[in-house]
Amino acid sequence: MIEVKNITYSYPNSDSKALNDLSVTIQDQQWIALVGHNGSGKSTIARVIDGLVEGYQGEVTVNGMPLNDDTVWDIRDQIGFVFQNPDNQFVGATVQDDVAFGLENRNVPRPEMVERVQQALEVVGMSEFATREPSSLSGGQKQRVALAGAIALQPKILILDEATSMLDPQGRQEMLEILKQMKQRFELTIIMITHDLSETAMADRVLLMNHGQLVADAQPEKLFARTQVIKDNGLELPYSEQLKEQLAVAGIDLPREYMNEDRMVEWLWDKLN
Amino acid sequence: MFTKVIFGRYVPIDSVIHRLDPRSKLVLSLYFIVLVFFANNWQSYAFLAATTLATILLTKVQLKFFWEGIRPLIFIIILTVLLQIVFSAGGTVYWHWGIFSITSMGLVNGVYVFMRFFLIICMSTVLTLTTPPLLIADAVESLMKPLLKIKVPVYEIALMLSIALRFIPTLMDETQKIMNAQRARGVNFSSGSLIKRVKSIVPILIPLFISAFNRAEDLATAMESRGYRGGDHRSKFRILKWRGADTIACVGMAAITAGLFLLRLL
Repeated sequence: MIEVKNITYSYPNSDSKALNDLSVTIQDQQWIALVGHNGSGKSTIARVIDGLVEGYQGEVTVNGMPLNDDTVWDIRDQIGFVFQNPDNQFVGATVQDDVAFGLENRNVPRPEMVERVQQALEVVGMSEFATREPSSLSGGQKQRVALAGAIALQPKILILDEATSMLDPQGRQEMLEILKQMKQRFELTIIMITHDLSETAMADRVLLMNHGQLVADAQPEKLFARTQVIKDNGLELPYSEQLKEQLAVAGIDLPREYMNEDRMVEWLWDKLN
Repeated sequence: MFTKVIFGRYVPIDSVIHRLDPRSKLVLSLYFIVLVFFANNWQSYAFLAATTLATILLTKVQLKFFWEGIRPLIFIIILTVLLQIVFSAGGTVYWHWGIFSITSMGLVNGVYVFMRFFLIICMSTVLTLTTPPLLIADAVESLMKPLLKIKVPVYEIALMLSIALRFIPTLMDETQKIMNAQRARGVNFSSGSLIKRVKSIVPILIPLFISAFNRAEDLATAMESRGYRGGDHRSKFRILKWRGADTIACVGMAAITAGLFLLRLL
């Protein structure tokens, strides 16, 4: 469980508050989608939880441990973090070296390390690339390696900071599929930061942020129905939801639940027949 | 293209030399370079040339790769050899003009200097053709370990070296992208006076530096989130193994040393 209490934070040399008295509680094994436009504070709060930001006011507790200088490394042991840019988080010279990096840092004995690296690469389907160099991989493959590096540490919480935003649609889809499997298999709590609302459909709960505050906290379908809130906070409805909106205006009766584009096509097809 | 020059053209095939521990390869090739300077007659140079050739054949790497190693340095070699020939005196004088002269001693010295260059380049090319840069970095780390006693941050230096190696292709790509972006705006990198060309490099370097710093910051955050705290409380994924073949290689080098010093007596 992650508890964030009354966090206020401003970046150095900035007058505006990146986080403004933010409080939120995240239960175990929830899939949280954290959305908001650029500068809404969504990345900042994730970094606060991982102890990567200093000088904030308020309290963070992760699995019962209050975050401070003494506990920060223990808390990081429980959190896997995947960042946005595939190139800038690849530390190792080869795929297996990179997955091993976090294990090396935790002084895991080599035989166990070799095994865990292999397993992690299997989970993300990158085993055959184990000895490849990052320059020979696509962005999507690099992000899968980053996921393997996080999962090899057997974390309880996985934070993805716009981890799919630099990928092509196929790479993005693959990442989401792998995440779904991993969540099931390892009973993970996932916090996925994104500004693409169509990626939130898998989430149990969507947190919408703006100006460093929580604006909405709802299930994806319920949030999608609040179109004005979404627009007011600088976000765009997923394409299929926009279509639904237009169809509703045209007087066509539609199911309430969220449909992705494929489902939408199917539904329209049935309707037209 | 740039990457090839910097990466020492590692050729990923399997051979006895490829399988040697990078530490033994690094130490032995440095040792051989020193050894070359002890050769002092035809016989000893011929002997070292034969051992070099044998090593080259053992690598199973095509000879053209070795030629590519020598080619960039060919002008320096030729220049040095010519200076040796023209300026060293002694023996029979064949030709002479002002301070320049060609003598028998000069010719002999020229050939020796050429052989020295040739053998040194060939042996160091054996190292770079059969060892990935990363393993060379590992070898350097391992050999620097005694320096830990005098508080040299060996592990940090090694990690910096390996990260630098890992980011070379990334930054090369980036340079290419920036150059293309500038070309699209009408910059011409390949013509104009020297000053003009040097000036056109500045607008490449500035964005490259900015992005390198951004990358460094991202990387530092990512490393921290993955539990990197520096120091020596880390286990190692890549380990170096000293095998029987490495001992044999060292014994072989000792035999070469003995042979060389015998030939010096001739």
